[in-house]
Amino acid sequence: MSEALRHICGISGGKDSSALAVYLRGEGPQMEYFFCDTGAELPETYEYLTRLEAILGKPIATLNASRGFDHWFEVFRGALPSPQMRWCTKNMKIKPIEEWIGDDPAVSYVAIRADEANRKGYVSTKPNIETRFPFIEDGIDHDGVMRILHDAGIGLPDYYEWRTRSGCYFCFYQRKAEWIGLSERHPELFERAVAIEQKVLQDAGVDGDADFGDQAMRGRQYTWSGGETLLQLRSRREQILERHEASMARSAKTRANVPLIEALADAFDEDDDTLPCTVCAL
Amino acid sequence: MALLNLVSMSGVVRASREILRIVDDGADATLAELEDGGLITYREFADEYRVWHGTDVDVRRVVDASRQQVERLPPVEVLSSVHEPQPMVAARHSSQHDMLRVFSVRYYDGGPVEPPDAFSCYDGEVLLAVGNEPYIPRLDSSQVVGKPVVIAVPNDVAELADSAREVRAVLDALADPAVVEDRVARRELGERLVSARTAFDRASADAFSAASCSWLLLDNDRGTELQAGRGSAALSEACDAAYRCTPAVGNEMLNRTDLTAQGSKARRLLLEGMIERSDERDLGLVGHGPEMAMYRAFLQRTQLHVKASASASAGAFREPTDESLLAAWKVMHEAFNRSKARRLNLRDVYAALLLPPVGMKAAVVPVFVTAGLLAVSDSIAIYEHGTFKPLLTPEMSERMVRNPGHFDIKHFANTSGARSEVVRELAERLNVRPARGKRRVANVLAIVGRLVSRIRQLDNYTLRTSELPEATRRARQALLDAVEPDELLFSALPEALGFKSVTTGAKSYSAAEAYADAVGQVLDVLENCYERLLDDLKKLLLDASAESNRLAVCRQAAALEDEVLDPDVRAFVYALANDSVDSDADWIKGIATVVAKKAPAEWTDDDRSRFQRELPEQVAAFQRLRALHTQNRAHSPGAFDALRVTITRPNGREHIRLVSVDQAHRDRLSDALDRVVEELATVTGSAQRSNQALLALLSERLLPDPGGDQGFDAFSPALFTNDELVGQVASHV
Repeated sequence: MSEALRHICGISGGKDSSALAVYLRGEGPQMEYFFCDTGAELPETYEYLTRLEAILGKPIATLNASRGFDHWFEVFRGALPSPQMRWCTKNMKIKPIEEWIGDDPAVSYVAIRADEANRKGYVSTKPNIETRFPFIEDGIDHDGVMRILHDAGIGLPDYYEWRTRSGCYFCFYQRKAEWIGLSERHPELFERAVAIEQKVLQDAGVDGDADFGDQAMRGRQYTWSGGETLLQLRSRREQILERHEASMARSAKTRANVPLIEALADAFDEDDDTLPCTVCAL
Repeated sequence: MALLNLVSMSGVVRASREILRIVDDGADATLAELEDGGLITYREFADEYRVWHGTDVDVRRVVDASRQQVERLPPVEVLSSVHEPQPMVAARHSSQHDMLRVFSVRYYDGGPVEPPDAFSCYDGEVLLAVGNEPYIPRLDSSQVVGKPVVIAVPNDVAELADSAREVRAVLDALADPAVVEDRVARRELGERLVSARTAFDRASADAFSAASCSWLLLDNDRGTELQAGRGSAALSEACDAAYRCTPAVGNEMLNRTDLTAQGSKARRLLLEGMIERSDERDLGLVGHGPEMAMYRAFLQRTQLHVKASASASAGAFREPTDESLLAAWKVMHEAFNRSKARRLNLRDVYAALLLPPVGMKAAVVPVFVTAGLLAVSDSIAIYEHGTFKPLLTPEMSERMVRNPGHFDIKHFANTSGARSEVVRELAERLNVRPARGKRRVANVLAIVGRLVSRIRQLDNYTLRTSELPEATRRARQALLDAVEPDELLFSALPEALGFKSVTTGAKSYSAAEAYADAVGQVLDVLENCYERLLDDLKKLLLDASAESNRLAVCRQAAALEDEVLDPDVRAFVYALANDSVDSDADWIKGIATVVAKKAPAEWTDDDRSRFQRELPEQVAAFQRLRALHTQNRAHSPGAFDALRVTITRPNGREHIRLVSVDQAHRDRLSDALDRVVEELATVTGSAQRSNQALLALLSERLLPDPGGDQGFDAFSPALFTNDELVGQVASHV
């Protein structure tokens, strides 16, 4: 066991954690950055991480690189994660982090902003990990985060044009309008999500697809988005976008001069507004 | 009758017709009268009269109707519907071999027989023959080598069938809607059901007793009679015959069909140790947990895993010395050898071990097969979903345990002739050595494994760029498209590099050394590609900055870090000033990312061109700012506001100046300007017009047309000092 105190900062691929990484780069060479790869992040996220890595001038440790979603999908034989059975967060985020840290004493820096101090992120309960919130300590809010990213020349990940959070392309916490966004921005990933919903891993290898339809949850149809399959959801494209626009407008009315990114985040359509997976998105 | 009903329930002393006749000579007439009056009821199967509790349901009629229905059904259907036989254990065999052998049991009255498949949790099947005519099925030749099937043939099944029919009739009567609604009828039929089941159990025991039943092991003839007796003893005899090579595993937690959660974790840790730490003592396992117990019992005791030599600590997997495992090892290697001709699905290897004569338990098979694959890792290629995997990794092993059907293997026998020559040269050039403790030379798989591993390390720029020699690009494509190791090494790659294919039958290959050198060069070029890109980018930056090293540029930029700057330029300046990185490569990566808005590792050739276009402009802007700040700082140590003013003249020529106002003089200047504007307002009519006129005049005076030799690109960072500005304004006052 190493007794040296480690300083670690987790990066999700979202703006807050990326800004924190940039913010902490002056803290010295001991800062360690890590990213828990699910193997199913959006292409924009991977591209953004290489950008961030270049800006930081040091590598971002990729945890879990060999046991991503496709691995667990095969190990669990097509049993899919859901809000009730969130094996994705446990196996692909929390376990790899805790294994990586081990028993080393560590300070973990978490990117909760000063304007969202009540939000909960991943805070380890392990006694060897001390958690700190630099943005709260230094009063850095949303504008501060944007300024940090802009000054570093890294900007925002491209997916913010159509999606409000980082995470897997098939994340079951994403809104219906975001599913529509996925179908338009990344039709191949949308098709892959459709196949996974039907317990099929597309193009698992040169032999083609891996079908777990006979093994996983036989007789029960799980859907990524509440109450309908992705194909049904896509067929309601116009209706979903219309409702989304309306709820965005409602949400924007409540505050003046709200940036688009926040308006998007606050817009409630017919989705379940369960607290999303902060471990993945923070 | 009431008294008898109270003291006995279908026992010997009960209100049967015979006993009631003893009590009363005229019992028959009385009983008929009472039964007709609905005061008593007769249970035919139990031969007992019961005082009737009273109900509107005619129980006798309902049961009779059910009996008539059941009478038409074949015995096997009736029996299967009233009784599900429990699996049977071959107790003696299981005990002797520390291996639980369990048989499924079902009723049978003819028709084809299918033994349990290799992946069934049962080790065999028992057929309870209940047809009216005894029928001994024959297995075909492929089934004979499958899991054993035993048939029990009673001498007489009539009583068994009758008792089953009565149970079924009562069950059907209980399901009658009228009975379901009537509590008294349900209770009456419930009591009859207990009685009928007791009779059925007795008849079943009698029918399949040793004295009245033959037990045979099915084969492709009339079957082999089992002499040991009945039930478990007969099954042990069948197992002795079928599972002749039962392996001794020595660990009950592992030697099962389905593992417990703890057992599953222990096996995962064991497999991980086998794959990643075969060189370490006890596979790197520590403590006395179940994984260590599994290792000691199954791998160490049987010498499946041994030290390479007495003096070395390195270990290796090899043929076990334990007699009971040798047969299993041979079966597995026969399967491996079958994959020489074509790929073999791993399920087939599993099946060979699960079936007789080995009959290994399903949870043990992955450990045994992994040991086998590691022992021959130089000659067996593993494919997952058809894709070649150069290395067996722990995560692959986890998937293999769950879905062996997703994996194929192919045996690559040691090459000879020309191919062997090529492999030798490549091994030399790529520095590939055979695995430690093995005498064989490196073969196709070791070479391809090394090639694939090195290609996988490459960044996306290297994988996409066209800025490479054509042969290198072709070789890169061949390496990326490769599916079959031998095709890559002996066909695709030589052709991409301009050599002839290395055919199977060729005796020698004169270009072996040149081909190996060419492969080595391609790898060197590809692996240095990204580094060369970063070097080029650095050179471009230093050239544009007219500086010779990173430190000089860093210092220039650092001087501007705290100044007020255009947000777009600020990111570039910060990147230039970043001295927290260890190497020039890391420094230029950050700058390139800011300029191209994309990390160089993800670039395409278009991104590189864009960088080359945009870098000079950004460097020029940076230098202009630097000059501005240097000069201003020379005049004033305080803060100042800088503005870039562009004048467009009627001839379309543009002139740019950076002008500044020192904060210390701002108030004085502002007052002077106010006075001028106020005075001019009397001439122009409004302050607004005065402002505009003043701006035009100042522009003309301060930014004269230089005669066409100073356009946008020819900008010189000449400045007016604050004193000059104050003087100009004051002269208007």
